[in-house]
Amino acid sequence: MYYLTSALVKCKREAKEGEEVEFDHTRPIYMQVIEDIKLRIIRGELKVGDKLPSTRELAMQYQINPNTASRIYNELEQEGFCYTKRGLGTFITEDETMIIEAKETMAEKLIEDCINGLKQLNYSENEVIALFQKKIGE
Amino acid sequence: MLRLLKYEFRKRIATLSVVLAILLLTQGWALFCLCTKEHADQLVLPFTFLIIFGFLGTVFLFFDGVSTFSSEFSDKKGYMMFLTPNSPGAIVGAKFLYAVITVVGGYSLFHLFAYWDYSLFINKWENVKEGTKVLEQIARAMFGMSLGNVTLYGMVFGIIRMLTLIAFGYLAVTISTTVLANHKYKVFLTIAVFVGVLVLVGVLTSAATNFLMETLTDQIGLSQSLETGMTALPEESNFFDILKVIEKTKMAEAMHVGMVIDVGFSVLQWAAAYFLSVVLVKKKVSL
Amino acid sequence: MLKCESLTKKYGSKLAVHNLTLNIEKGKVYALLGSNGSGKTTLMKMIAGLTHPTSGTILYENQPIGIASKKEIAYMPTDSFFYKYMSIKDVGKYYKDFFQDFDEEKYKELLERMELSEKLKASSLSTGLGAKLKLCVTLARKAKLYMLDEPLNGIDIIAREQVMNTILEAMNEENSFIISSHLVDELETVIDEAIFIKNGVLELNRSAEELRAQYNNSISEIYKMIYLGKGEF
Repeated sequence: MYYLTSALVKCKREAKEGEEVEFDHTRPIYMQVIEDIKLRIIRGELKVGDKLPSTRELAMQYQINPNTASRIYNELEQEGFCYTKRGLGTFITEDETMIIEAKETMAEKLIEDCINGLKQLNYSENEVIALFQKKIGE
Repeated sequence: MLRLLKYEFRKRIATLSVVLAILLLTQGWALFCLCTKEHADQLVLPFTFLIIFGFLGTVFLFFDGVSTFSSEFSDKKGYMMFLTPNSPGAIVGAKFLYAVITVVGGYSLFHLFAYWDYSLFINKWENVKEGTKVLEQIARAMFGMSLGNVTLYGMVFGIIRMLTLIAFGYLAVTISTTVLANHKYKVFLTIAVFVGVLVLVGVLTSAATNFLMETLTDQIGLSQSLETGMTALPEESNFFDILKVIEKTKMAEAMHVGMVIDVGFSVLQWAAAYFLSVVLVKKKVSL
Repeated sequence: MLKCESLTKKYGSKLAVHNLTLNIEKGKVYALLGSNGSGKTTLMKMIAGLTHPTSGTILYENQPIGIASKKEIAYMPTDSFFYKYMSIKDVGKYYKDFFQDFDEEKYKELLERMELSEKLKASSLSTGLGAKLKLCVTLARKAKLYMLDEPLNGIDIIAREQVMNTILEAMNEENSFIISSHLVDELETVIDEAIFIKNGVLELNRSAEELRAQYNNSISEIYKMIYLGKGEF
């Protein structure tokens, strides 16, 4: 149930793009910003090879502290999602496969969370499939 | 330090202006009466006011000095001073300087006005001028100087006394807001400390002064010359004859020595009060 | 940059801070969390040099608290502390007179943003405006360590974001912040480290992200647990 609601919150967040992000304070903030950035890359709001905002700008944009902001770029860089050009800033990777991969992991995670949630409500696998079919059919 | 001093005055400017305005108005009234009235009786009222003002003025100077000092420690306003990168020496020093300037300024202004009124007064009424001659003679005999100078010295001593009182007031406030900051009977203890210190210092200085005076006057030979002079006086001699005897002795010299000793002790007392306050603030400040 | 070692402060027989040891590092943002009367303000006042500790030491850049530390530490008390005669402009003048790191232009810019007119009397401001003024004059200093005691006190929900943004903007890798609050939610995204104080005793001092990851909970929930005495930390 919790995962369902958190997924819903996420959808809501996507809806009001450009506005401030509502954080879930029970999880590390930097992880949530990373997810948000990845999401925006996947959805194409941020293009491959685009320059990302400076750490400072990122901090202001998400209203987080500058240390968290630089940690976010460090993590993204380590994952290979972006790279730094000396003196120019941080850029999104030009490697499209990375993005597709990320999209797949994210989808997998959503489905998994959803199924796990339904299982906790004692839905059987067949019932889950039926539920999905019904929902998509609507 | 000068900046701190500037703000000492800036904070109190409203009160100080009011007091100054009252003094100027009273003096204006006195001058007006001196120039227009024909009978000396008509001057009683404005002069009484001036004297009352002088008395209240000294009380004001004391309370103004001590209250501006204590307000710095007793409420949040103290943050303004103690947040700034100024040493305790400078902060406490600015307070002492403020007291010196207001007391010296206040006393000088008041005495200047009093002298002004007095000269106008004796010039207008010749019979009064005669009376002052006796005073002149006494001044010359006892102090070896003119009446004007005696008054001037009186003023200087008034200033010194007042500053000593304020310095100990500061010290008492510092003690109460540092060492006694959280004590149950803070107010009572502060007053006790203030009075206690005043009495103790008073007894000590008077003992020291007496001792110094005795040794010094013996050296000058005051008591001997006074005794021989007095016994040599004929029986039907009057007041002026006695004065003449005194003038011949070394009474005035002894007085001067006494004054110097007094000033010396006062300066010592101020210095002690200042340094003790600074040390307490430095070690124990508790806002 | 700042080291507190076995700090204790007694007010009479009342223990305000007890045996507190703390290390503040350059470039980090600390939340000082605790209920009213837990010793947050006392701790800040000792670091600001307004109150002497009963025992223990405070070293700022390896020097005891004094003139040098006051030049670089900007403390914003909870209470309004400006002189009665002061207008907002006078407050700026005062800071300019005494703090070398005070930036007049920055002060004006911040005032404008907070919609404060320089002519207003500082002592007659409402709680909210007074809090904004304190923040403007404190952040207009280019200090090394900022200590903000309850910066959101008296500030309504709508203005909170503006205030938090202003504080965020002042942060950089050269300075550190200690922000006290009992409104933990508001600080949640802004801080690196959380310091929990309860009855003058340091209960916990850890990275906020680590805490969230470990307990799957928000700092404000962890705060509640600590104060209600639930769970081990």
